Formats: sequence, C-alpha cells, structure tokens
Amino acid sequence: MRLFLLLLCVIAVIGCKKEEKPYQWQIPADFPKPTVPANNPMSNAKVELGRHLFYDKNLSANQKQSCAGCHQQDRAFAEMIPTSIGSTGQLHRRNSQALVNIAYNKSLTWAHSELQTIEAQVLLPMFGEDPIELGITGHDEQVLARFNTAQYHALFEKAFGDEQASFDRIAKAIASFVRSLVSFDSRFDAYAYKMQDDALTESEMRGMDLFFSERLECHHCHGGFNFTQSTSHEKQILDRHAFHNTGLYDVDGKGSYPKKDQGLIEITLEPRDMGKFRAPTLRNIALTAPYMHDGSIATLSQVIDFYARAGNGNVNTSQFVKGFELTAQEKTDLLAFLHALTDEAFIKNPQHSNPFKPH
Amino acid sequence: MRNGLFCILLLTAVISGCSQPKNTRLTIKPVYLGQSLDCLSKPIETLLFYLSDFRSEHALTIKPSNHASDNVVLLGTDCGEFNHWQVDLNGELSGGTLQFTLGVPFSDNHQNPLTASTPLNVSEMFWSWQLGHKFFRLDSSDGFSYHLGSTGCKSASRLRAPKDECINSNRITITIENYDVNKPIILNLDRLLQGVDTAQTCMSEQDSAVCKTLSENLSQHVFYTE
Repeated sequence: MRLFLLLLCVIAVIGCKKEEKPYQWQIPADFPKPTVPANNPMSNAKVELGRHLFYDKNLSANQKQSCAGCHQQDRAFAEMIPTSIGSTGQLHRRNSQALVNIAYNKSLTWAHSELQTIEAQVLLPMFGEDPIELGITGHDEQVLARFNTAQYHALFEKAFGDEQASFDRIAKAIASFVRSLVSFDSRFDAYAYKMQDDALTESEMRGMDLFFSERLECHHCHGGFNFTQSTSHEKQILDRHAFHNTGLYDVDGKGSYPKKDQGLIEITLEPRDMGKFRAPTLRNIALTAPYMHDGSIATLSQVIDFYARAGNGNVNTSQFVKGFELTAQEKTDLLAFLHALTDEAFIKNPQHSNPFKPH
Repeated sequence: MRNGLFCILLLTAVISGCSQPKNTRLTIKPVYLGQSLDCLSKPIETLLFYLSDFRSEHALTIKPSNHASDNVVLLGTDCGEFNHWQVDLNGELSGGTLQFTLGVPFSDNHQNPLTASTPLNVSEMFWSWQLGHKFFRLDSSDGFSYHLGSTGCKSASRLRAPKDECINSNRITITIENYDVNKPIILNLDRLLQGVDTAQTCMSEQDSAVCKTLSENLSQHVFYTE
C-alpha cells in the first residue's frame, strides 16, 4: 500500500514537470509588459508554432509566399521595396511595416484606429482580396490540409492540446510569434536604460539631444520607450490613438491626399482624419528603408530633409511638423543617433529566425 | 469584560460615524469660451496638468489613486478615456487660503519614466530625464499648443537627470485666497489665453513673449473660485 502511494506521488511529480514553463517576455527588468488578449495568452509552444507558420510558404494559396516574404528578419521584419507585392504579384499600396515591439502597438497597420489586436490584423494578409497577399480566401480547405503533417501535428498539439489545425489557431499562433518580436538591446538602450555612459559616441549623443529637443519636435510623435506615441502597456493610464498628418501630399490645395490612400479617414470617415497615419516606432529604423506609408522617401537623410522643410505643404499638417534648420554636422549627428537605435541582436536572434533553414 | 470592550468599540464606531464628514475632495472645473469645457464641440484636444504640494490650514497630502501618487496628481482630459478633475486628500480642506503647485516636485521630476509609477509614467507628459515632465499641456486642433515645464536643466545629456534644480523650474504656485470648500476651483482657459497670440505656440522657450504671457496668466488669475 505504501509503495503504491509512493508511486502515485512520483507519477504526480512527473506529471507536474511536464507542464510548460510560463512564457517569459524578453524585456529588461522594470519595463512594462505588453497587454495580451485574454483569449490568447502567450506560451512558448504557440510562439514556436507561429514561427513555423510565419516562415511557411504553404500558408499562401499558391505556395509562393510566406509572411516572411515581406517581413524579413535582417530588415527588422520590413523589406526594402517601396510597397509590397503579394503572392500573386499584385502590388500593395503600402510599405511593409517593421515588426518591432508591435506587442505594444496601440493600433495596427498604418492607419486603422479600430484594429487593435494582432489576431484580427493578421487575417488581413491571410484572407484579404484587395490586394491579395497570401490569398487564402477561396482556397481555405486546400491550405489548411497542408498542415496535416507529423511536424505540424506535434506543434499544434503542444500549442493547443490537440493536433487539429484551424485558421483561428493559425491566427493566434502567428499573433503570439509576432508579439514575441521584442527589441530593446540597441546601443541607445545601453545608454538610456542600462546607464552605460560610454555606449554612445559623441556624435550620437549630440544627435540624441537634438532628437529630444523642442527645436526638432521628433519625440512628440516618436516619444516614449518605443519611439511612438501609439504605444500601450499594462501600466498605461492614458489611452490614445495617435495619428498624424505629416504633410506628405496635398493634391487639391485643400489638404487632400491621393485617392489611392488617404489614411485614417478611410476608417473613420471624419474629414479631420484626412492624411493621418500612425507614427511607427523608430527602433531599427536604419534597417527599414524606404520610408513613409507608401515607401515614397528612399533614405533617412531625405526623411530628415522632409521634416526640416515642414513637409511638402498641406494645410492640415500636424502642429508638431513645423520645420527646422540643421547644420551639416547636426544632420550627421542626428543620423548617427538614429543608427544607434539598431538592435543587432534582434535581427540575428535565432528564436526569431526561419525554422526551416538550419543555422 | 468582553462585553465591556465590545461596548467601547461599538461606542467608538457610533461616535466616529456621527462626526461631521470631512472635506477631503477638491474639484477643478475647466471653463472655455465661457462654458464648461466640452471636448466634443471645442477645438481642445488635450488639457492635462500635474498638481502637487497642497497647503491649507491643515496639513494636506494627496491620496494615491490610479492617477495620483503621494506627491503628485495628474488631472485633466485627453478628450478620450482619461478624464479626471478631482483630488482626494488626506487631511481636511478648510475655507480661506489654499495653495498648491502646478508642477511635479524636483525630486520626482527627472526619474526614469519606465520605472516611475502612476501618474508619472505617461509618455505624453514627459520630455526627457534632463527636463522632466510637462507640468501643463494644452493642445488645440487649430494648431495652438502650450507645454509648460522646467528649462535650463544641466546634465550630461537629455537622457541623464540633473543633480541640481533647473535654472527655470517653471513650477507655478497657485494661491486661492477665498477658497470655499463647497465650490469647485475654476480653471479658466479664456483667462489663460488672454493677450496670447494663438497663432504661435509655447514650448517653454524662456525668451518667448507668448510663454511669458501664458505663465503670468497662470500664476495670477486662471485658477480661482467664484
């Protein structure tokens, strides 16, 4: 009888050990954690499944493109062309966004105030028909059947308790993987948060002081630890969706943006939202050229010139885009600072890399 | 014996329950264009400010909440979900002279905003370690902005805190001479903007005429009781 009890205990202990370790955010101590939807808590198994799906071309109807096609790790999960091209060759109207700390994003995509979870956003590239990205619509069963393999059975089992693949689970797993893409290990972070006084060069320090100055106003829209006002986290008490008109276009002298992309107004139908887009994070910004929602500015240097001249002239340009003058040295310094926001460990992190390509 | 103790406890409870309710809550009422501020119909997009160091006849400290710490309270509206106009205090408010500071105390003003607790972890109200927080922020959709905070702060860079008080602390002491505990304190934006060219903005530039007028208005007659 005693032996039986002992055995029972041993089994119970082993049973406990099988339980997965809770997910650990790869963020510095003291940093606020992102908020995560209650119906999709983070787990290592979901992140791992999501990573496989993110890099798997089988997720596109014609098996020609994966998420990683437009979101490349060595470019901080952006890509180097102005606007993206879908799996069928259709041209997208917008520039592929970097996937950097988007777990903290207040809203997703370039200009959508209501799209607030990655689970909802990820359905756009999967099922969207205009433009077609992965092009799953109309090929649902066929695409799903491709995940009926021994490898995916094991991944789904670990992530969701059984081997069944579904698009709901796929969206949740990809969302979990994308949420895991956190980047807080730039030289700026070493200076700012690890208090390493020698982490930045003199030029980068001067550029940093310019960046955080009222003269340039950069930090009004690109403020906070994630370099975007459009940030939320567990300690947040102010809940704001920040969208701005940078004065990139004015096609009719009345502030209109080109018909093919007018920004937030398409969602809210509010005239005041004409030409408003979400301020993206500046972390890893040196890697994500070209810039702006349509990739119309090729280099960071040209972006600085654009803001220096207070945009291209639009009556509704944000009051924080008011123009400034920089000496050649100051511009060099500002560029040096922006390059110090690059996180080399992030773009080389094997946990974020293609699982089908052994390193 | 047990019954005796019980009686005393009961008596104490009854007595304290019967005593006069204390005035421990202070309310600010924002006024713009002669009316109560209304985000829906007005161009105001943000009106946020920090208050600290309350002084009245009795000792007063701030009661911590989701928008206040022991030392400082964030009030105002972002014309969204944040909408706070009341300060709960430890200690009793009394009529007569009431003083408080518009601003964040120096000891709290230049800390890492990431590790700071409520209400100092609001990035929109933070400039940098060097300059600290915006004490008062007014943004209007017609292009006018007023951000008040310390300037002339000396440190190794924008991301390092100054050891000594800034040359222009720009904290403003507000004195309400005839405070009535039963009335709110008015924050009158019309008076704030009196004589101000709203085609310009003020980001606490020390040499700006607009800034000078705004801070004079603030210290003199923007906060009052009717």
